[in-house]
Amino acid sequence: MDPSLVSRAQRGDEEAFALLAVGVGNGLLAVAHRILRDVDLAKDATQQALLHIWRDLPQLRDPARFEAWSYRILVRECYGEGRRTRAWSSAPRLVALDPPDLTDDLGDVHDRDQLERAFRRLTVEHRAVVVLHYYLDLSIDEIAETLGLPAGTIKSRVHHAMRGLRAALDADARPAIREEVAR
Amino acid sequence: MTTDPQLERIVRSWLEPGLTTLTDDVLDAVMNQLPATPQRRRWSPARRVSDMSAFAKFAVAAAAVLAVALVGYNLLAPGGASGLPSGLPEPLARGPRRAPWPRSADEHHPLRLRCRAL
Repeated sequence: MDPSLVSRAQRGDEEAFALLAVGVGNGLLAVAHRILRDVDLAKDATQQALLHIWRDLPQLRDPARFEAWSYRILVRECYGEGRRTRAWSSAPRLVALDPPDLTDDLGDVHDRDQLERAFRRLTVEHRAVVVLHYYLDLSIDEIAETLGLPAGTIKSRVHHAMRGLRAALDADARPAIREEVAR
Repeated sequence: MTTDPQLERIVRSWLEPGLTTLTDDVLDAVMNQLPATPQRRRWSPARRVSDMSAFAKFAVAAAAVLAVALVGYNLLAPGGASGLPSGLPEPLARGPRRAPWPRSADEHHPLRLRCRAL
């Protein structure tokens, strides 16, 4: 991200901010969608994050850190959206994303649904570190710096989240194995 | 940390599909709201109640209740705000009590009147 654009936007230049929003917005929306698993919630979180970024931009001391700082704000907005959603809906609905690609590692639609359900059972905090680590390919230290948390906390969250996903997939595989043994 | 390469591969693959482009409706909504969204200067106080953690909100509320309780107690307690010092010892504040002396009745006693006449 061009630091001069950030500096201009910090001084209230709306055109410069529009260019920044286009530049960082794709990544923000993509991450929000994968954390929240809902198009409308992801759009709301991204919109709120961009407004929050505009409001607090003059307080950003190092323009070179703009992108990481933006993701921190987005993740906080996702926490808020996630909590609000949980408050009025104890039973999260399954929303289909794009049609599944059957040639990938996941194999079939059933596995995808199983992973989707397991992922939704995670807290938003755990989902966020999974997305930052496995979708954005950020390292543990980079996630820690982005979210302003200790690296140990991030490691623990990734470990806990992956253990939950593995347990869900294994639990689903067990009946099939039992059927095979019975034959 | 997890050491499950198969699961990591599955999760990476599962996370791939989804939105990847900022839609015009989001960008338009943001740009329309910019004029009504003032920027916070670096020296301005950045704290708002909605930004505070639950613990901070609780602490502020508890401090406010305590302050109101202290002020209320000072106003309503006996002698609190009536102008009298509340720390005076009880006997001094009331003063010593004497038994009423039946002086008037005694002065008009017939024996005393007789003595004066003599």
